[in-house]
Amino acid sequence: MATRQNDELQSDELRNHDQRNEKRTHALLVEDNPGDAFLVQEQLSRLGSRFDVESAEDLSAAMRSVSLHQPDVVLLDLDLPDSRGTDTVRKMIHKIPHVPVLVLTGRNDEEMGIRAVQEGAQDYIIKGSLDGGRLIRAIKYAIERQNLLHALHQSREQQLHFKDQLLSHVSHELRSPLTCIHQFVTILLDGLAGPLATEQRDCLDTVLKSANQLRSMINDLLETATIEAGKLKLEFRCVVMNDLIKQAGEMLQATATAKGITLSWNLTTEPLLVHADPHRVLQVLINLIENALKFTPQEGRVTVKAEIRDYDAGFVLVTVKDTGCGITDQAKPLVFERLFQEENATDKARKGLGLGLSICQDLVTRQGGRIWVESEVGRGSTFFFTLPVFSLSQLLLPIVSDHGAIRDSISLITAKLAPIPITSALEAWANTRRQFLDVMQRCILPDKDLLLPSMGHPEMGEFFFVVAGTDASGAEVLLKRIREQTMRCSAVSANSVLNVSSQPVEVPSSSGQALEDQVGAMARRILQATSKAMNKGEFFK
Amino acid sequence: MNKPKILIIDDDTDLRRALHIRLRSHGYDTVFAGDGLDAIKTALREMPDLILLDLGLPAGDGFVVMERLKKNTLLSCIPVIVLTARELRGNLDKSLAAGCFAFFQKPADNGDLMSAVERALKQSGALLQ
Repeated sequence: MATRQNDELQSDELRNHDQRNEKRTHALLVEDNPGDAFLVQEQLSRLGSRFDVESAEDLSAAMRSVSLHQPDVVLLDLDLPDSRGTDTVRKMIHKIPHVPVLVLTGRNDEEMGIRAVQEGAQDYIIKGSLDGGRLIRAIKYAIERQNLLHALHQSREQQLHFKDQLLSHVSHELRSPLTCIHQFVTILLDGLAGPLATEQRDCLDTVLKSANQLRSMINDLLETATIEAGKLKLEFRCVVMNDLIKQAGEMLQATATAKGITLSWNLTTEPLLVHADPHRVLQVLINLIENALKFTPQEGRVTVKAEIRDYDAGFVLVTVKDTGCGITDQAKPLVFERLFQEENATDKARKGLGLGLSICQDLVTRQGGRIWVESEVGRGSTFFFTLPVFSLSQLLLPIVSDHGAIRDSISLITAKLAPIPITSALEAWANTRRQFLDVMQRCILPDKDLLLPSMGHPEMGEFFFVVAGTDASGAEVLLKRIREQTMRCSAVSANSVLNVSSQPVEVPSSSGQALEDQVGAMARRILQATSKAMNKGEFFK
Repeated sequence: MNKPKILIIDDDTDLRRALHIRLRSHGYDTVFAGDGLDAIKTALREMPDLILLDLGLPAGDGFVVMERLKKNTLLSCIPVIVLTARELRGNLDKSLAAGCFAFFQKPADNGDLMSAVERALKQSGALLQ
């Protein structure tokens, strides 16, 4: 009895509070039993509290109602003519995620109420035990809790946005003074401010080295922010892994030589093709090799290798092996964690931000590969990563086959985009390429023609190949369309020279061969033709 | 032939001085502007052969400057090389769309920057091919 009085007292308080605030609460009551509905309505109005109650007899009526006017609270019976149990809660919350939902359950159904709360309802009320004060309090608390949740969510979003802004702002502001340091040190090193003594030159070399390190840290910071914000864009292409390894190796050869380390790469004669973003793969390679060099003492060796293993034929495996200090068993699971730093770097004070390997992991995983490490303390570490093999047959299958047989005539269309005149603006070139790809994609028939991932190199021009399921005259029409459309594309016409041509591809005779084998033969022919076009840099007649 | 004249538009006076020393060593003359308004006035007065442009500037950022240069028949042919500390994302595409000759992020490699300067000057005829 005492509790009861207490309840009444509190509901009085609530009522007074309500009257002071003058704001009416709009409640939607979803209840198919007229008796129960009446009871609830009566409770709400009897206390004179400021509720506007709207009623719905089934879920679809309730859905219509919330679409027209979003209520402040929903009182929801779970067993309705058109929906039953927790399903009802789920649907309602999905429809109006920011509105608190109170579930009305039967006297013997407390368990259902708890399940509803787990599904996201704010509270449950047992119908038989309704009394006005308790009902109103439950509603008020539900609304307050929902408001709190909403505010929390918003402040989290704001914080994330702020963090993004802060990172981008800070890295910009850090770059400006760094540029100044870089400029003046190179002026001194280049002798533009007078000759330098050997010791002075040594000092300045160290300054430059540190400035460059700072720059790469700033880039890592921005990179991590970009990945985290989900803003990283990958441009998948058909990439020759051998070339990328060679490129990365050549870039870091000087660093290795300066440290007295032998850096070598061991490549197959057959080019290993992967389906990946070359820029990002190069980044991973550079990161891993740099890391290896960092932890390897003088006279040591760093070896890079790429291969396809029989038991994992769908992937190219790249290994970066060093003879450095190795990684302890405790540290092994942590090296790919963000902000992890090895204490025993041989190159003291040459620590990075501890973001490099975590960026590598992100980049490899996003390209469909795996990355891991094997290591023995004192003997060295080997980093492995895989990337999916570029398989032409797989891509070709839906294009060249027509009701279980190979199409009669297939043509290969080649377009070569000469490099744009601005070097050291690889991104500009990437932009042109992207626009060109877009145009090509629009020119072809998606179910009959296949645009291969682009191949080539910024300095030598980019090749695009279309495997068209058509004969010579059809290919001519397609060629004309590509020429006309690309002329309209400003980035392409302004920045590049375009050259397009076509040639028929010999269709293998179908006698007795399985479709897969025929497609495989086709793929080999097409690969021969494409590599011929790219190596010779000239076009088929 | 006169020395090619390069207008450096940057609000960082230290960096301006560094670029001046670097460009001078390659045989170029330099003039400066520190904000978006001054940029156009100086360009009209000096008629430079090339502009090195920062994007984050007071009184009209780099994009505003490029737009004003393009609108002015006397200045529209001067090649512009963007040199900025801003991120590539967004700024690179926008700069190229505004018609810049090349885009560099600070700190830029001196060799790359100087070769872009040379190419731009050759293309516009301020340097012999």
